[in-house]
Amino acid sequence: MRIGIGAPKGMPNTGGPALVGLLNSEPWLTTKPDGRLSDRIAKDWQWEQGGLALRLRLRPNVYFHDGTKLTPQLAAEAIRATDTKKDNFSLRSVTSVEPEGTDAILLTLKERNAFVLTDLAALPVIKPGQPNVATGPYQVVMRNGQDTTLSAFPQYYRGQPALAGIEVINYPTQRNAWSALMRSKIDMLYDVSRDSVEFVQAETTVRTYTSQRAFYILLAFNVRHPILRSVAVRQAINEALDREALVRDGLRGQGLVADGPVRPQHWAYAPPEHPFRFDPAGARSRLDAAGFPLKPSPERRVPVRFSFRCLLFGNDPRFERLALVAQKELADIGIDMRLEPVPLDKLVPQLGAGDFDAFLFEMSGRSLARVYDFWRFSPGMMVNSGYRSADAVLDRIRSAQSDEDTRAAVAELLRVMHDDPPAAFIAWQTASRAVSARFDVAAEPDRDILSNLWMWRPAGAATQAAR
Amino acid sequence: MRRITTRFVLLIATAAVLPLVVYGAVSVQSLRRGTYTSVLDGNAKVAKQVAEQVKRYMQDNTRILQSVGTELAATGLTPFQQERALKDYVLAFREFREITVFNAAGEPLATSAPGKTRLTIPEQARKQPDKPFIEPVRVDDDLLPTTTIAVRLPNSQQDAAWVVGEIALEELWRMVNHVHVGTSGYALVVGEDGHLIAHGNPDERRHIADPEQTSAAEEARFAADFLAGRKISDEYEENDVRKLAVASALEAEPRWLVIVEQPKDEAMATASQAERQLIAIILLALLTTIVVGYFWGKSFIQRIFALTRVTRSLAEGRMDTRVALTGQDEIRELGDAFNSMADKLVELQENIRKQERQVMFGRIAAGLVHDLSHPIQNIGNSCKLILKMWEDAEYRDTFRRMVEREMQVVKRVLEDLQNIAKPIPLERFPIELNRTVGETVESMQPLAETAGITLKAELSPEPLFIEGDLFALGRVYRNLVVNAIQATAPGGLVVAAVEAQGERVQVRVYDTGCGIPPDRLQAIFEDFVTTKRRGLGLGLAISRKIVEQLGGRISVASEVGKGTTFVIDFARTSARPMAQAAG
Repeated sequence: MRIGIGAPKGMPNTGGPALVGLLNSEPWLTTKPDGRLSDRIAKDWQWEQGGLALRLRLRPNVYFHDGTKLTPQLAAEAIRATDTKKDNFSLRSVTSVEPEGTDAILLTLKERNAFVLTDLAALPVIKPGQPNVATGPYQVVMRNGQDTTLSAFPQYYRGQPALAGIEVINYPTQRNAWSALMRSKIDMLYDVSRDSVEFVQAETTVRTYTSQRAFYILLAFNVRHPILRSVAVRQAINEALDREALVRDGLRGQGLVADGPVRPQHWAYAPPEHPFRFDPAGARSRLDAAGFPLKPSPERRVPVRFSFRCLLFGNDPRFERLALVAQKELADIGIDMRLEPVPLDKLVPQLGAGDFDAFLFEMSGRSLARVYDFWRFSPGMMVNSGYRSADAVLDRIRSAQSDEDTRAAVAELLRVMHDDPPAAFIAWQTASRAVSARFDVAAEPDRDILSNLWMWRPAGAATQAAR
Repeated sequence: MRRITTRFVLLIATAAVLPLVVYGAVSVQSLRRGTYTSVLDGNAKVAKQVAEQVKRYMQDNTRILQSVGTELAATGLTPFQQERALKDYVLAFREFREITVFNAAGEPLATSAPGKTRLTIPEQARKQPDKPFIEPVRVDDDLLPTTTIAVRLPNSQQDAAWVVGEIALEELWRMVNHVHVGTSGYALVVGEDGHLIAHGNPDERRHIADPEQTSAAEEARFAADFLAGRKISDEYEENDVRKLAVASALEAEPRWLVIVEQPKDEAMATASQAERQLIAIILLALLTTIVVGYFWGKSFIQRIFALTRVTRSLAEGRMDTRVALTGQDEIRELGDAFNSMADKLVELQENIRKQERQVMFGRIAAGLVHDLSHPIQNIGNSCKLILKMWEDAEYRDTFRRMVEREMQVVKRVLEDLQNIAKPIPLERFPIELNRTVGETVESMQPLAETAGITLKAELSPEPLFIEGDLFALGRVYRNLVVNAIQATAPGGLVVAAVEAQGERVQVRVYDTGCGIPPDRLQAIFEDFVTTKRRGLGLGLAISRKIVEQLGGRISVASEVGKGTTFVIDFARTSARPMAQAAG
């Protein structure tokens, strides 16, 4: 099977490396759609010593792509080799990882950290010292520039995949990738743009699968900004934004309104008691009360309250329209949000340096650990917005020892982020993928079809097998 | 029988069905032609309507840009306000991706884009500033057809000279998607360069993104022919499907073409169905005609066959056979006439029989009188004499011998009469023909001499044996020789010849007599038939009977004035008479 990925300019590797990783490797654990953890390479786990030790029992028949059997020793070594500088931060709490017996490893923590399991659910099991050798259903056999060829791993512990090989092919644009799909040069289009989903869905030679992504779009604020540091201002901005209209007009209806960084499907989520409602009049009043009245502007001839810069990824048309809608809605209450498209390679350093007023982008809300990593203030964090109001509650989430504790902490998080909003959470995105009808996809409700690509097979093969 | 019935059925079928077939063929042809024309006309109307819609759609987009430009040019807005306005337009008309206002030098003055504009004034637009310029449609990164429209602002009081907008033509696709002709007919839009812009068939739409568009080659070819005025409709095959296509051009810029194509099978389905129905009706009519014609013909012919059968029965002698025909038509009349004829025939036959009986009776009586009167008279005369000469012992002996002799004659005559009706008792022994015939000839010499005729025997060089009754065959030979002598004038010749003919032997008795007329020859062997003036006419009948009972054949050939030849042939036998066998 050939999978085509159209990467916008400036983001040449987006999607591709992630997809290859998904096929090539497997995490220690997996996350279900509701955020609960499930077994994968580790078949079960147990917290001990009051949350300061974590015992993982390993599956017995897991092999690396080079044929090496995964042993507790190798497993411990792999976890110990994890880089925690940019992610997997919870593993910084782990002081040691030791093999135990023939099928277990024991992680010792210096402090309770509930995110260790979440991070293990995102951490691929890689053979120490050999980054291309993993345990996933497919193994990398060739890399040709940005394209990767993988072949089915016969010793995959869940059974040899039906598809003998997969090619991940990068195209400069989505159009190129789509054109390749229709010319049967590829069998799957990784991402169908939301503007064209309805047309692709009408085709009978491909099937389109839509699922909720664990990414939310937000208008994040730099709370160090002289104006945006005002809670009232940030609240007013939240009230001025019509999220329904943003989803409808900005995302073509392909998204769910967001009220925070925690997915509504997450088991710990509960709708906030007082979510932000679209209330432009209320926003105006709030701004007036906060000392930001409308002021005439000779230059613009349109009175404004204040202006600020909003960075957005310059080469990604996905956010342009959304940004325009948000800009208009803010302009309607007198806020001038000046949009500043920036290439990704410049955007990330600016965000890290705090050199922004606001930015419009998407963030991962796959797990509470990701939420924690993004919003918990720490030096060198990805987005240096100066926001610290949620640190305490985020720490509570991290150290929660029960579901009830977690739920309570999550509810508190949403309340804190409502009372002192670090951003305007706009929407959870929907992803659409197109697969040639020549393949039977093992689609599961609420899951990305790529999560079980190892179960796909050529159309009709299942019927043949049944006969 | 069958031939007549078949011909009858064929006649009816041809008379009834042939006109129907001809009519059907003409109707089908007309229907197909009419349907074809009607389909093309209907689809052409659809194409025209779609073209009108597309034209209005593009004109609307162009007008929007014009109004944007006019608004910005005439109202003296600040750049901030202009950008706000452009963004409002882009948000209000979601097909507009971006709108930018340029000055005459091509420098952007205001744009709806978040950052810098991606647009420029197309060079081609500058060459024709008096009318809106629409760039060739392309498919953008969002997989949607996109074009750029540039509008020159007339009499602008400010720097704004051009408005350029990038438009995603989704609505064009939606418009085309809604066009369905039948179940598999679609509309598509082709650009001036023959490039596919929109396709109502979702599975064909992909070719829009294909730069080479090899799969849309037929449409492009038709489009070129249409624009050149060579064709207004076309038929072509695509993906193994034969399609009918008509086109309609937009009556304004852009000079796109709307093609409506429909699978020919589907388009002609009505005509095809009518054709099938017509064929079915014709076949049904034909079958009905054949069945009805067969049974009706059969019932019609049956009466003729009945008549034929009865006629044959009548010919075979079953005179009591009559035909009973139903109906009130000529056949019935024929049957009645036949029955009348048969009745008449029986009556006539009865009359003829009566006459023949009378004639025969007369002949028999005459023959009997002839054959019996002489011996009876002799006996009568002798009886008279015996009364007188009773004392004469010698006369009494002569009287006895005469009576015995004459009684033998009477007995023979009565025996012949008796034998003609039943098989003659014969014995079969091997006999030698030369001897039999020779003896007969010798015994008949006195008669021949008396008649002045030469009688001789021509015997075979070798003995010839047959199985036969010596006495009966002697009688046959004598009968033939006597007849020959009686039929030959003095000086004539009568010969009895014996010769072998392979496994058979023949005895021929021929004469140089007067011959027998042909009309009598046929019945010469029948009872009571004679060429003589008198006699019962049983001689040859009995001779034939004897020969046939012995397994032989007898025949006659004669020529009046020349003579007659009787031929008897028997199968040879290897058996020998007992005396010879013992010897």
